[in-house]
Amino acid sequence: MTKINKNHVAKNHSTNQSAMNRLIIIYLTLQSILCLFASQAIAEDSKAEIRGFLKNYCINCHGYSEQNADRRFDDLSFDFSNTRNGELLQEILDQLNLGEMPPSDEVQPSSAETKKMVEMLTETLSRARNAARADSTGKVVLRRINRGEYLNTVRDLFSLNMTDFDPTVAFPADDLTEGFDNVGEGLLMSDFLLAQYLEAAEQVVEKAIRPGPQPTIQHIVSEGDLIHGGGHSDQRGFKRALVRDQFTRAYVKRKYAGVPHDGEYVLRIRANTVRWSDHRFDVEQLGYDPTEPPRIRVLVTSRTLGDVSTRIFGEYEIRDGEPVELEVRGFLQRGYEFAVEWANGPRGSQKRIMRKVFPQYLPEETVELARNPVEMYLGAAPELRLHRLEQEGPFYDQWPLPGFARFFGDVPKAPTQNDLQRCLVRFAEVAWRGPADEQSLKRYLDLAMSRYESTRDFWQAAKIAVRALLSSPRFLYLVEPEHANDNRILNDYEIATRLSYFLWSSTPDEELLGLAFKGELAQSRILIQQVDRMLDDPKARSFSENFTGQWLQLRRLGEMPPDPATNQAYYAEHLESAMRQESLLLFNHVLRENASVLDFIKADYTFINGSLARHYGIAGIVGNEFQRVSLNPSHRRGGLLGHGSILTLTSNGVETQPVERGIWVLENLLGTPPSPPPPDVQPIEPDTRGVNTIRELMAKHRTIATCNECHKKIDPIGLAMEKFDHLGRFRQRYTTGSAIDPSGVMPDGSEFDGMEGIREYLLSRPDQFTKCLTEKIMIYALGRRLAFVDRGDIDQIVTDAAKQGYGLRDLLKLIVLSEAFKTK
Amino acid sequence: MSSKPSNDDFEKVFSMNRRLSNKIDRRQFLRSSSVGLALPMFESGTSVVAGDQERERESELESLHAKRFVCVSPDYGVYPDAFFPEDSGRDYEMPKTLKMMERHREELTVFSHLDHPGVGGGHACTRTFLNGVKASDVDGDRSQLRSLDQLIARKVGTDCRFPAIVTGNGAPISYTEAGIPVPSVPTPDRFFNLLFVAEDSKTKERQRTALGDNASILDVILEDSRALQVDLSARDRVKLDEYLTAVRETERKLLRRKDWIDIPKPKVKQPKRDEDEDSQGGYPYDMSLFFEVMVLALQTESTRVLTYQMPGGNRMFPFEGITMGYHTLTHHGKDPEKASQIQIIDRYYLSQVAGFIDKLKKTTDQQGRSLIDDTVLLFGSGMGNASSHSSRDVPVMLVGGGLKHGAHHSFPKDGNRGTPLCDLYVTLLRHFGIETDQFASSRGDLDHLLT
Repeated sequence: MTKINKNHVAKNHSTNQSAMNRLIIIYLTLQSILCLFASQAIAEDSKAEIRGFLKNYCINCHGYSEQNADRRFDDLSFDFSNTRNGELLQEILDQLNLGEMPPSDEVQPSSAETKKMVEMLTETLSRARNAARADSTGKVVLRRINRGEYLNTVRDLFSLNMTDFDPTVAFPADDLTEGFDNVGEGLLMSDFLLAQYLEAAEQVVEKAIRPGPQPTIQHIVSEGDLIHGGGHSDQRGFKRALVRDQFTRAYVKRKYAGVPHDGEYVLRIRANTVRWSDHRFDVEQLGYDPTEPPRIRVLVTSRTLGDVSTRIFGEYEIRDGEPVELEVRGFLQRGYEFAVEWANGPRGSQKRIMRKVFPQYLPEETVELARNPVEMYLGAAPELRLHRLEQEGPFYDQWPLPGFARFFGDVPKAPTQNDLQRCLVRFAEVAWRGPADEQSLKRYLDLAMSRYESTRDFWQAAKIAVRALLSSPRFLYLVEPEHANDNRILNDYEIATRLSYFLWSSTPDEELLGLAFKGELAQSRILIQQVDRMLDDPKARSFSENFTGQWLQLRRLGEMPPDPATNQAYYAEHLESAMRQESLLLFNHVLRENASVLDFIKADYTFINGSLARHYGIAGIVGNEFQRVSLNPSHRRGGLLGHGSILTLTSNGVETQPVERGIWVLENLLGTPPSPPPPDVQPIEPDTRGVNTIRELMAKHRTIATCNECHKKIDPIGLAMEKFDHLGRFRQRYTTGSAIDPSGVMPDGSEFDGMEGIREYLLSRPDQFTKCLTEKIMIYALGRRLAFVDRGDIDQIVTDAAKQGYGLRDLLKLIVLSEAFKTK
Repeated sequence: MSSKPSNDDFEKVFSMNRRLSNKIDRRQFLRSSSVGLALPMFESGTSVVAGDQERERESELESLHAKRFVCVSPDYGVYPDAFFPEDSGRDYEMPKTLKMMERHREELTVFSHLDHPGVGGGHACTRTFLNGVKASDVDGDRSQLRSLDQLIARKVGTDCRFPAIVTGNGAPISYTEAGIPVPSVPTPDRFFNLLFVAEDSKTKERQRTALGDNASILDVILEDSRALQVDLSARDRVKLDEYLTAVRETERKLLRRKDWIDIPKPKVKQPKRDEDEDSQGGYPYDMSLFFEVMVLALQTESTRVLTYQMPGGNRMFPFEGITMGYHTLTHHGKDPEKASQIQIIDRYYLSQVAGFIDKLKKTTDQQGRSLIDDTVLLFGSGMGNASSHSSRDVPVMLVGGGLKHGAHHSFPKDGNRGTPLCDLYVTLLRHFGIETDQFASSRGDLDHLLT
């Protein structure tokens, strides 16, 4: 399998539309704030009502005199620090839901009473749970850097080129907490992972610490038969390929373990085709398209590692007739090399052509006689001719390499222990993201010294100490010491670290560390400058990708891929990556232009390429390049809800899942996720025999009270999105022919009609959406769950963001300036 | 169930389903025609494990107990109506899915109405099969998550190259004693390489150096993290404890690896895919390969504890009669069409397990005893009725290991409450020589039924 490396980075035609989006009015009323506060305590009258219900219907058998099944409710307390109380309430709720209690020969509550009690108990329990959870949060739990952050961190520490180099490849996946993989409490450490860290550190150090003179440039030339692979030998000084398959892949050398050093290499190719379109064979049968110019493909690969290591470097046009000279330049890791193959020649195996195609062009008896049909086919068919392959390198922009020079640049020819110490301290202060505590550093220096004493090898000693530092707790965790449980303000280095892992998913750079050193970083003016600088840096791509990957769950795209047999275009046109790209480009645009976050709901533009436009049925867009496209209502797109990505990732590859879609909107746009089924309430198995449409099926589901509690909110939203199929294509009818009814009513009485209805519903609550987004960004920025204590900050941020026109960049700055961001 | 499935029914299903049935027949044929195929060929007649006398004595003592434990667990469980027998006792009728096990009836026990009290529904219940508790319910004390297989491994597995191996692509169900999910070896190829393919001398040399270096590094970071703990808040300290545990555990494992690095890996023949399956490749066809490597692993004493996680997902199974994705089918909502399709998949799973048991029976260990005699196979899932993703009444089946088998035990239900599955685990722990009265949510044991 080859890894396709073509990033069709779009050129965004940015027009400044954000001004118009700033006129949204905010409805953050006092009332909603009060609600938030009230939600934590359990109202006294609820308690009284629950007690009353128990007294009327339960206590006869579960009270002071009788305690059937060992249950007693007359002394029930609402103190949920004792988990038993919660469990008892839960049991009562279960029994009511199941309709098993009170037993049928006892006095029965009316159905209205039962319903009310079910709602009340559900609510009470959910509050109790929230309260208990909030109790243990509100502070960042020691954060381990996750897999992506580790990768970026070592890249930036040593300015490493990470193409084809991933020391984290065997790291176990990081767990999600509240939907994010950078939340401290959820980031586990295990001996498996630690073993991987040790191994990764060794690999990184081998790449980064490269003392000695610049490697000499090697020049390998192979011509004609000396080219390895590339098809058939020819005495006339070239190799010829008849088909595009992996067996005709050409290499510069026969036995070659790849380049000996990491670095830039140049590959020169001399090649042409003959009879590209001028032959007597049926091109359909040969399986290629002679109307396009012939191309060769350059691969980067490692023959030792095999197919998994192979990726496409690029494709280049050549011509029919006269050979052309091509030169490509790229970075090769040690052990890798270039390879060349025919990108668009006749398809499939030579055997197929010999057996199925070739005989049709010769009288039968000739074929019988032909000893070597390949030779007869050669000279008549299109072929690729490779005349020369030439590889030269490694080349470096500077030597010693910048990542090495950063820490070891001043090591003299005959280094001493003092040099060792100086370099390691320098490294530790960057790796540990701040001044290194002398006591702790000493252990690492001692390790280096003892290695130096036993081996007298400066570099061996340096390497083992750097490996230890890269496996140390102060590197792998973002340490924020705290002696008492005081809500202390972070110091400047800690703020630099938070900022940097927020916007770059990486370690702070020299500028951030410099500002921290000067004690200036915490000033609001400087912080805002830094946010702008950091967002303009290419490293901020990590923020866009990681945040949208998790907020919008774009990472889930591809988890349930559609059936290749019935969804060919999805694969042929690379729709999955195009869809992901569309959402990412919208996010980047809003971020760069400081456009209103409400554009995520209602943007009248989007970013698509030819394939995605065809998929959406939008005319007039061609080519692989993504471009900004203005939308009108007839396109039925606009905003995230019209994105193929969202519609596909909430489906299961075969059909839509309205429940998933409803939950997705509640969770990620409205910020009111339905509670998962409370522990020990077993979902009752719905009997869905005899239903015809998903709407009927879901209606049946809602006849069960426990289900209805949440599904009355979920289902209307999901069903309103039904006019978009499992790949996000618009449809008027189901494949069965039955019509789609996208209308719905929310529990509060709001009515929907289709996707446009959801958009209006969301837009009528700009504060609610902004709050939801703010909370998501806060979780990501802080690396922790939010707690009750954060409500104040969040509400203030939302209010201010609304005043400033809901700009995304402004929102990020408000978050960085918030109390929560600057406190432990 | 009103009509009792017969052997004829079973035949009918598979003749309708020709592609699948061909495959099974082929397997049967291969198995019987070449009993030696799966048998490893040792380089010499000597034992793989360099055993000194003391170790031999120990293992003699241990042979009083079962030696090996295998857990096989499908993510989405098994369609209940075709799995749980109606009548209990010895002469129970096997429903259609369970019927795949008919030939092993005397060596197996089926349980009805066992589950983990306190574990709610949803996909997360799958992960509780071997520990009885959800990660979200342990309240910061992750050690509650340790799973049965790892506990058994600590008792019986420590003198093998691998104390325990987790394989397959399903949801993780195996947790270390610190409560960390054990990474799985995801493919049969990697599984085989890990156990049987020797590193070249250069790699070994590199490993030896790295082991030495890492030992010194671990010393330093252990000291440093102890010092760091003092500076942290109580909650952060708990978090750093994870790191400290990891450092100590890595040190321990390093010593183990050092011990094993020069002991050659056993030489066995790599099991091959059936030729006609090769083109399809991968899941679900790799299931039989997983099982073959598992047999080799046990036979060569490379490990004594195996956990095989069978994946869920929404893939379309390439079987005749299957028209919907796996996950879609599990939410059958009593729709007879979906319910019948899900059973095709279940039967495939169970037939693979039955084939695995065939191999355990046929293959002998180094003392010449049939593997099944000393291997406890636990088949089951943390998910009961997948249609509602319920964790109630989970499928559980126990095979081999010298336990008392042949019956279906159905437990009384107290309302929504079954008998804790952990009662069975208490009995299993004892069976492996671990004296205990309690495991997770257990309220007793099932000794009286199995011993």
